[in-house]
Amino acid sequence: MTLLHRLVARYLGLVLNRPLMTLAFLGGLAVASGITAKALITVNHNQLDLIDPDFQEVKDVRRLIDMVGGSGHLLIGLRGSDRKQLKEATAALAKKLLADHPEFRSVVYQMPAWFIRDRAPLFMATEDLKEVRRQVSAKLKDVIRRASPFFFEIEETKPYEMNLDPIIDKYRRVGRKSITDDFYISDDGKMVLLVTRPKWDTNELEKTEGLIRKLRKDLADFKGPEGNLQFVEDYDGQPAPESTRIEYGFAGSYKINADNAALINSALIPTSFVALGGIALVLLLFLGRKAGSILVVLSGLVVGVAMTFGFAAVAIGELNMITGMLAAILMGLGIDFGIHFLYRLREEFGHEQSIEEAIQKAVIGSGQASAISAIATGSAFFILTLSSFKGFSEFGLIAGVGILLVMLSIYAWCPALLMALERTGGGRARRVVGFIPLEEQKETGSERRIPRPKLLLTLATIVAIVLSSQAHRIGFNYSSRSLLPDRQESLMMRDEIDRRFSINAEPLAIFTPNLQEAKRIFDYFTPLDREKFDSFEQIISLFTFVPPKEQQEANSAILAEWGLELQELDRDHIPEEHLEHFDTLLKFTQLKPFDHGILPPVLIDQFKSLPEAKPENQGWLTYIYPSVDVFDGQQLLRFNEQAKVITLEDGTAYRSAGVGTLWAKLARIVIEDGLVLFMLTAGILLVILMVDLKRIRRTVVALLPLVIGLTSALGLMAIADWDLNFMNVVVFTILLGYGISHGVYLIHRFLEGASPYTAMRSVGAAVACSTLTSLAGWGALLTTNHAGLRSVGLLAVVGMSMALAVSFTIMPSLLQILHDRRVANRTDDEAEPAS
Amino acid sequence: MARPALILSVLLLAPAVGATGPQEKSVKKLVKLVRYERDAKALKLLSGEDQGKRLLQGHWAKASPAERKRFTRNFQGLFAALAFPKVRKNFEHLKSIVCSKAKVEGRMVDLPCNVVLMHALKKKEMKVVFRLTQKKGWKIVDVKVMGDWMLEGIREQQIQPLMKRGGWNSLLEKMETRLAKVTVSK
Repeated sequence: MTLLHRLVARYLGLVLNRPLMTLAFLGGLAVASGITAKALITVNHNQLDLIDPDFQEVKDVRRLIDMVGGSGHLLIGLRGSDRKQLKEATAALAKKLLADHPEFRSVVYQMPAWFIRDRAPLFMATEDLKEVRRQVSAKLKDVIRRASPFFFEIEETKPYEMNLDPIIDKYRRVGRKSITDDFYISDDGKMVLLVTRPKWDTNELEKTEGLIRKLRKDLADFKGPEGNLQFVEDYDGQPAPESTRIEYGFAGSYKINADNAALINSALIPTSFVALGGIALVLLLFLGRKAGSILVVLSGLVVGVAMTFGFAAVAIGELNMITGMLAAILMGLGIDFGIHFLYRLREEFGHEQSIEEAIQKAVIGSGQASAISAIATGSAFFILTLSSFKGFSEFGLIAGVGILLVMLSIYAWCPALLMALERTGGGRARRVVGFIPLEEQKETGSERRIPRPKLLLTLATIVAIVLSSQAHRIGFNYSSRSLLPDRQESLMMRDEIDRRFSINAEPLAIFTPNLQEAKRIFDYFTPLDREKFDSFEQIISLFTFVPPKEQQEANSAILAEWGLELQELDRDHIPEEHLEHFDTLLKFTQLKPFDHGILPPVLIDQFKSLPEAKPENQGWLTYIYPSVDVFDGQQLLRFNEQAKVITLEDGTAYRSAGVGTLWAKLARIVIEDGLVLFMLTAGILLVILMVDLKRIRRTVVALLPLVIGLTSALGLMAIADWDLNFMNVVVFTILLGYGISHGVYLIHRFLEGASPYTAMRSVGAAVACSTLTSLAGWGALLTTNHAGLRSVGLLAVVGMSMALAVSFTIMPSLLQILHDRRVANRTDDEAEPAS
Repeated sequence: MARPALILSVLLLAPAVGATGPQEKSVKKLVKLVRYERDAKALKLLSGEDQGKRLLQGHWAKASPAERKRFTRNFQGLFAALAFPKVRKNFEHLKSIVCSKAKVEGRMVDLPCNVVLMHALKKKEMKVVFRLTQKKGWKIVDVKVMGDWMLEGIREQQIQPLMKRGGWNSLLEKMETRLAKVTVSK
């Protein structure tokens, strides 16, 4: 007897002879774990904490957060049909928000565009200014000539028309801001933006959600400066015709992050109910009227899950967005152990033997396969601990330990509970679990077989080949936008803001400790090399608002010369309708070059660190705006690649930081880690199976549901144009665990000597039951309106279904062929001595 | 002998150069005639020949006497038909015309004047420079308002394009068509 056998015998002895003590111990452990978990576990909504804090990108973003208080904005878009009223309402609302909400660090709805308007000629390229001068002078001359009492025409001509729009349009915006109005107002005058920044960062989701709730309440009560306005949250994109109705909506990285998290959380609750309902239905279907047996298994499951959370409390102490789903996943995986145990136990209860013997045989019979399955699945999860994304690594650790704990608790709690039940009345355990009559199990002489195994194998293999041949065509959808619902309000508002204001996404920021370096960076990007930086739209810094010195001097000289010409004109002879322009023109001719020292403070503040930032984070920011769609993973990566480090001609390098760098890092981790982790998991599974089964042929057979199931699933998805994406790609690791367990249970039962028919009848039914419960669980995700979760559910359902299909077609038919050979060889061996 | 001759020449020239009297007189007379709709007489105070030279430059020298005559008649007709009414309107509330020292520009004399208008008790001043030449009395050639010479503007905007397009015939026909039109509309 091997050491393992002795240990198992000891363990079983304890459980079966001291069931109450076992139950008390496990129950006490579960309760203690639950209490510990409740006391110690916190839920960390901070997404930044999911990424390794030693990553340079994380350090850079933390510096940015310290510098300016956050890495994004909370935008409030106000929409109305009356421009004047809209602006007044905005000003009043901004005042109220700052007064009533200490949560805000800043609320900005305008910027001093007047500063630029007053100096517009200095911002023009000198050639453009010359052209403006030429046209304006021609116009002035024409106006004066026509105004002269002595003017007449031989041939009537039209007054000289200037065509300055092409030039004006070039300078209508400085930075991202239109200079025609100080307000952040759209060109059509229908929307004003309130750009706010709370006193926390974008990844503190609970605080953001709390603030949004408060704002909604306040806006519902707010009536505007005159007390006659109604503020209504609306995302349809069109202003209401009534001027007293101001529509508003939230957008920006704070809201988008909070929405995403809330959507996932809210999707999980109803899907959990759907999942539970589906699982209960499947269990009732397979286990018939033996509801008591379901309770036995479920109680063991709960004990295992409770212990897992106890482990999580001690080992990690917190759950995150990803590990928060652990309970559901562990239950879905863990129920399989209970189902296999129950089915095996029902077989054993059909034999004439004591309850202890039956339980012992059931534990040993299905326990070994369960142990291998748990080790294999657990290994697949443990591989995730190698990921640099904490969301995956913590998930892998807790899930890996959890699957082992659940397996152990099922095989300790359930036998102990049944033994304890038996002690309350003989035969009770058998009645609760039920049994498969022996006559059904015995061979009758003409052994029941899988019919036409070769035909079944051929047909199934053809289908598998056809599907698997398409697997290489599976696409990867890099767009994170496609993972989100179409009608997510913050995204709808984002799209509207983009449409009205032509602004795309949050920029990345480059930190410099002083203005000289900020100037060097700005000069490096002026003009912007659009070939090298083809994903950049614009660079905005303090120096965007200070034209180059040479240009200012040249323009100032042109203006001074022009001024002298204009001063010779008699203002009294300028027609009334042109006087205002003439006066403005005269003012412009007095302009002198300026530097950043005279910029308005509110403009400087946009680029400067907060006074309360740490000394090492005091400095200046230069912003890089993308021209690409940052929701597209590939374009985001390209933008990040070009922006993450800016190296000037002298070799000095500057790093950029922002929400974009983090998302790009995450995308890179998922893509790079995903492949590596998958290959590692596959390798480990192979090793585990070889150690367990000891023969290559057996290992290959055991791997069939996994390998063929997975490739067929990918092929089917490719044919149906269902893509992989950043969310569902993590399901692969879980699919490896499921797929492997099918093959392991079936091959173990087969290796015990059972015919494939018998194996399928007992183990196969358990495999079907466990798969269907898993399908019910994962399939519930298909009912959500979160496209990302739906894609996770779809991949899981397709993958598991294919594995199940292989388990019921290729595998049994192959096993039947092998069994037939086995029987034939055995018959030959028996016949030999006789001959 | 030289000194008395010098003094005499200065005294002779003085009314033409130093004193503004006769030039100013011509200007005031022109304005008065125009205001009182004595257009025909007002036109006689304009130097058609010099205006033609200024308007057509090299083309004038190449033109035949008939063309020149036709041009002058058309030009002055248009001037009277189109410019005089505007002058009447602008100078409706004329208070005074005060001219300062004339400046000699070759054969011409530039006479800067300050035209004062009073309209609704609001005083408006207009600085006008009259260019005159002496041809049987001082005749007005051109007028500069707000730095812009009238004839220069007409030459650049009207005459030169028309001459370029169709030469003398085209120009004269255009002028006559326009003149006929404005005369009919009156």
